[in-house]
Amino acid sequence: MPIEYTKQEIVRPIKARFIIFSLIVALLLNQQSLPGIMSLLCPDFLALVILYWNIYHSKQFGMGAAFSMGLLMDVSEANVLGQHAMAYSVMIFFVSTLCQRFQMFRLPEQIFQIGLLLLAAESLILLIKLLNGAQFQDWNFFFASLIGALFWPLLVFFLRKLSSGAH
Amino acid sequence: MEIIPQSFKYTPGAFMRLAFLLPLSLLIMLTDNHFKYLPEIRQILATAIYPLQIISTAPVTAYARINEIFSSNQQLINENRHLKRQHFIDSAQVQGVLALETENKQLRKLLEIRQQDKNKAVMVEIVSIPRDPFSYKITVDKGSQNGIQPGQVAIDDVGVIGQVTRTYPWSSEITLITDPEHFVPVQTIRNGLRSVVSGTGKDGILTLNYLAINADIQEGDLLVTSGIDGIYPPGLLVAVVSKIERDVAHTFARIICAPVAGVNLNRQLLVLSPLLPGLEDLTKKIGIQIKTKER
Repeated sequence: MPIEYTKQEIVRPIKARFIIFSLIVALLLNQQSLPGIMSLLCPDFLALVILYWNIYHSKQFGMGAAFSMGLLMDVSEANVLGQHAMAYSVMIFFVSTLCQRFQMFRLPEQIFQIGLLLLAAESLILLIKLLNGAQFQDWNFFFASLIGALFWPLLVFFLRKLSSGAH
Repeated sequence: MEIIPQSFKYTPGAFMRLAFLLPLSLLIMLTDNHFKYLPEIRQILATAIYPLQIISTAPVTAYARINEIFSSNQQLINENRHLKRQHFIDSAQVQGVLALETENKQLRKLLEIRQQDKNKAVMVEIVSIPRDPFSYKITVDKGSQNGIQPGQVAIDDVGVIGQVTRTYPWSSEITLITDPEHFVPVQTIRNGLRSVVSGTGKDGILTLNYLAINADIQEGDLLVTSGIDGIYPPGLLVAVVSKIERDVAHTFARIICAPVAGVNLNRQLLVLSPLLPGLEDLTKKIGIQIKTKER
């Protein structure tokens, strides 16, 4: 009986340059300040890109990388250092334990799972903020993860198209 | 020599990594929050991210440029006319102010009161307003290299925006007056009643604390900085009283105010020179630095 390799094993590494570039673009998108309610609904693009690289190229993009991107995010938002770092690490932990079957799922199921992962990260950040003495404001806060999940197919399409030439 | 393929090399599992990173992030949070031992790390990261913040303002700048290019002649003429009229009105007012200033100086000399110095100001531009609804801090495009120090006050063309709380080489953070931990000493223009206004954590809502229920304050009263803290120069417009609840069950009245300035209105701000001159001399004499409250 021939040994069956999973798809994961034969993925060729992506150029680090390309990964860094995509992360920079995501950070840029996160920096955009939109007026009023729009800013509440704006998804965390950096979290999405981190999820993509960790799901499809986990050898190259692990929890440590997600952690350091979280630190950058905290500085750019002028927040207490470490809260995004913690949220992203926990998110990646869920990916690596609960979602090893992730690539097998069909797109709607993937969207659902991504939504849950983003929600977990957002809730953790919210929890940290509440413990830090912030006041809870608006349930709209959670819509961002829903919208982020809807961005997932688009992101997968783009990154796959672009990275197909970047091995 | 034996070569181990990439796939068979030992790497710590997800659980082990989390077990390392989770306490690490907790440690970082605690240190940053309670001990403030991490300014260097923050400085390095902020400097690294600064080019990104500048690039991220590019769409807005580009939009303004394109608008400029395509704005019609008539629009420009109208704008020019409006600005000329405004300039005329302003210069007329400035003449009055100059006369008053000299008069004030002479009177102060007669009374031997300390001279009030004018504030120098640095024009800055907002580069980032966090998308996070819990963050009441904005980043502007000038920092310690441009002579900005923590504690300086930021205003826009109407009133107080906030206070510089952290500086990096080329950028600095301004905490807005809507931050729940930010307090501004104010007085009403109408009768000079002094109090302290603080943020509530909600956008566009401030509260006036510790005023007795029978205090003489009305809806629509304008609040200006009183200047008794030595950080905010006196006479800057801060907020307008929008709602007063006088409940006899409480000792203090519940007074809601609306800030007059806002970061949503314009991208340019003025950062005023650090402290009142008298205080600066004092600190030099005693040889201590006044530590501004840093969050």
